[in-house]
Amino acid sequence: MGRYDTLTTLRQITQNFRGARSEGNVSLVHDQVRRLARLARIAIRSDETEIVLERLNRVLGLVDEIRRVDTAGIEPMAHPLDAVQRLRADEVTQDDQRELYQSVAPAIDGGLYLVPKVIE
Amino acid sequence: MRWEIVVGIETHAQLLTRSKIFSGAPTSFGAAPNSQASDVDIALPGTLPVVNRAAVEHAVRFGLAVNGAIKRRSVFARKNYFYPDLPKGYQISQYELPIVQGGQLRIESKAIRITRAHLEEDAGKSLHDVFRGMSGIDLNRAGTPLLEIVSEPDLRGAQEAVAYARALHRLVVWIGICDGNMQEGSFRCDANVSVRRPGEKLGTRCELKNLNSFRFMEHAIDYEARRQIELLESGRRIEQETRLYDPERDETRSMRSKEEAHDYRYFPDPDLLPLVVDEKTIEDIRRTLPELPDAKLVRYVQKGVPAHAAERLVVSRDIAEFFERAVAAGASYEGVANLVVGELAGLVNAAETTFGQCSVAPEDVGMLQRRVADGTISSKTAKELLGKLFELRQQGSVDALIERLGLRQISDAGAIEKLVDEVLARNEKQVADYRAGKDKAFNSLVGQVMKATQGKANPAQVNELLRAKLAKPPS
Amino acid sequence: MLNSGLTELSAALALRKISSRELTQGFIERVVRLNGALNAFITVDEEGALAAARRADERLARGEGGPLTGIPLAYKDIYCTKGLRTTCGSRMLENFVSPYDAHVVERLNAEGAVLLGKCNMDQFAMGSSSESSYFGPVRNPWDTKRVPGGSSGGSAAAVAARMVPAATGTDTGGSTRQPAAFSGVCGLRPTYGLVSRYGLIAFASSLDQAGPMARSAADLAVLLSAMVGFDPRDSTSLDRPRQDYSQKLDVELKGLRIGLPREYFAEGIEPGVRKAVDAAVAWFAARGALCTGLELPLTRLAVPVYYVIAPAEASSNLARFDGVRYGHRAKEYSDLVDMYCRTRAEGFGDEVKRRILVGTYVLSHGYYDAYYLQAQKVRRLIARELSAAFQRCDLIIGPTAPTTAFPIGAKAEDPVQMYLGDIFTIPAPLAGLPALSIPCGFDERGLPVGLQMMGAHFSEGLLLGAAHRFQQATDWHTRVPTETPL
Repeated sequence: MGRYDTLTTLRQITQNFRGARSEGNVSLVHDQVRRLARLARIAIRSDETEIVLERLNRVLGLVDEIRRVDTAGIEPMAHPLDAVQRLRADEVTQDDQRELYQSVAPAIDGGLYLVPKVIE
Repeated sequence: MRWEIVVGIETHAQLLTRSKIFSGAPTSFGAAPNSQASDVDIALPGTLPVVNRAAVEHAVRFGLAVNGAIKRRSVFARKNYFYPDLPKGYQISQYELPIVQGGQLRIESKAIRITRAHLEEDAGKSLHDVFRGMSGIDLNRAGTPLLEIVSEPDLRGAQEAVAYARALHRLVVWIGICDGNMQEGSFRCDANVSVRRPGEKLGTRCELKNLNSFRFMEHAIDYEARRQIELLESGRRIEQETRLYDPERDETRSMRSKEEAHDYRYFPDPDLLPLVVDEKTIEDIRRTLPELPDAKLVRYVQKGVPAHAAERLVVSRDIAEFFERAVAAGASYEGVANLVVGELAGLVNAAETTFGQCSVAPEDVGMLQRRVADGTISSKTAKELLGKLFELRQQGSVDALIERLGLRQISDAGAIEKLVDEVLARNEKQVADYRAGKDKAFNSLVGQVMKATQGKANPAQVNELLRAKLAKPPS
Repeated sequence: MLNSGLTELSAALALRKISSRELTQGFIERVVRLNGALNAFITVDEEGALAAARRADERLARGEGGPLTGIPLAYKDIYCTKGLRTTCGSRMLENFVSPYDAHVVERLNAEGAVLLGKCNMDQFAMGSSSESSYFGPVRNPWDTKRVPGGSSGGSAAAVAARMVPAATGTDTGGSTRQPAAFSGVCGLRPTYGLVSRYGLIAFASSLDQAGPMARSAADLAVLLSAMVGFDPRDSTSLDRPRQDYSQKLDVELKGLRIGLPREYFAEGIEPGVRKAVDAAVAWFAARGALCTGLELPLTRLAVPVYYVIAPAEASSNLARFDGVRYGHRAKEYSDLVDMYCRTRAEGFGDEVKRRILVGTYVLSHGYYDAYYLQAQKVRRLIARELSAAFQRCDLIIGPTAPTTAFPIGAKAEDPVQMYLGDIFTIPAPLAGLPALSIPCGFDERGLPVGLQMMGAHFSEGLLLGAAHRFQQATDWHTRVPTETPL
């Protein structure tokens, strides 16, 4: 395999990565997946956890590549262009469109969006 | 051994703008539910935020007013969490790089350090139990611009905390960035409270929410400090948590004890670019910044206003500006100060109005004081006239009113002497008493002269003449 | 007429040789006939299209209108269209009727274009095969057992099958170019910020760009000219003078410096792809272009970086789909949190959920620095590497994808194998650069091969011009797919 064969290299990396917790590779465990799913508000059935876990670990195996790069002194790039925020004049430009906007809402009453009781 | 109560305050000041921080929807209070929630505010798919210039300028204004560093480059981040009043599933807020860093605010003789002030958007409101088993969401407030102002834990106890909150409140209203309306939630404070033995490192803190008046803030901090001290003295530990103040029961209680650990996953908002504030903008804002209360206080005192009166003149910008316009009409600082913090403040308070909406023109107050100074009227008459002007809502008519009501003071020495002679002639007994050493008799004689002129005689002249006449033996 | 380019069609419309109504009717008939087999459209707006065609005809009759007046167009179903269902290929938005038009839709409507319908796509634009749509997979017109590429696969298949003369797509990691390559059409990704993102349902905000898809570079130029332009509602929209890209298509090839990254021509690329791309490179060299080898060693990191940044932004962008204000809401739930969890579990497909979880992970406490921040740093290194390369060359040319279209289901089990197919299309979006894909031949199975050209920021004119010169001399882009003959 030549030095330019990046695709082959990446394929091998990800094929070798089977979610094993080896050599500092990260790999998720069931508890973490449940915690992530909870944070992301996505229900995962218990019979799905295994396959979700396995596929997530493959993805993490791929992205783990970046951790080995030396990035000392490199400014993070949050944005592709070197531009700055434009400011809007402080003017009211939008009128009341509640009826239109709420025409696509799952549950409304008296102009309010309804949700299951919020507990505080 | 005594305990030291350590408090830091986080304040959310709603910025006075016409439109929201990231959308063109209006910010006015009390509209029909969701009638001021635009496509951006309800987070319709595909909508994007654009920053309101006025919100940025207000933040800069604040930074300059507290002598903080205005960051030339600040960054909006996303704070991710799910809540029905948070339509995007994240709040846009400055996190690592806020627009204002550092600064300080004086309370009495102590400088309280400000850690930072940053721009963010407000959330909507959840109305609980409006429908059976359901909550209603009103997003009118979502996207309202806020400046979150964080103090260092420099405050020692509830009273200092309240003094700080009051000073901050006065400042944000003073510089015109917030209406300060606490009932409508325009100025909201949370307090981080911990206790320690003096000299020890900071204790575990609890964050108190729902402190929507200065009085509640004081009570809540007092209660919370007592609670923590009791826990520690009985050998228990403080849990770091958020506690809600319940004004009905005057206590704080834990908000969500079993709440899962938060992980807000902050990251720079890719829909917004770095916020850059240039020198010119900062200088333009600096130029238009009003003279601040502390500076005014010092100046007033230097001009002869007693310190206690000067304090009252800088309670709000309304009063200070009223005062200065009155002085500008040609009157003395001290004299106007007496009228303003004395008689007029009483009238304004009793009428439940403000100096900004006061029915007396400040120039007229200045004129009144000039007429006292030049002897046209007595200071007692001036106070009465002030009440008259307040009631009549007539402006620019001080001299006319003096004439019309015949209030001009009698300063003609001949006329006064004539009256004094008449009074002395009629009151031989008092004259005798006075000469026998009874000082009270003197006041009675002055009173009679004043009465004979309906109070218009110049009291100083009356005094002087009487004393001179009484000093001579009877002719 | 179904096989004509935009320029010919607008000439015919302007000369009143054909009416927009006839043209629209003709394309609608073809959509109706072919969509069962290809599933390229989610929604066809026959009534709206005919009404728009009538308005366009009135405009044309008055001698008004521009190059797009009366031309039927299709939009990827990620563009919000007022009053018309906008699904993003997802159950989450199955019945979502947008209350407003995307900026691009406003622009094209103003030009008098006729909105024919909304094209199928990978759910929330996450995918490279258009298989993840809630509305079923799109099929490749060259071989209906194969994918058309993705995520703008519906747009690509529709253009390839002559169901519509041109369409819009979006490109986050290659979603206009890779489906263009797989389906034998042209697709462009503009410089980041050139086209407003307002009204495009966001996937990854720092990478998303709208772009045209058509059958020739000249047609891309016509559509792009109408799509670009400053929009004050998008903070990332660039305020620069608009350009008519159709005006300068005859670029000089002699002396044009073409960079050929060794990593783009290495092992792992299918021989059929390699052969077609080599031939295209040879064509440019024969016209006097100066081809030089380049090394872009960070290419290896582009896919990993992308699969940190894009899911991170997506995990946050997709948090608004909570069943409160619009979109799907679960029927049964025990409380608020359960309502969220079920709504999102039901509304999102597997790939979307996977990316949300990955994104949640890389942003979460304790992992942010190692993944997200590190990815942003490596992103800068990649952008610098490309920027340095563009000091030495005007264009970077290579294959759009390492393979031609693969069979439906072939990569369903392993998301990572799917991701690796994006290796050549991902660098441009990471650096905000423009790039396009045009057909340059066929492999031994008769599947189209795409040639990618990447340029420096704002080099759209050069990219389109070079592609146009190639297409003047070749006929790869004019071939009609075997399974959808005219």
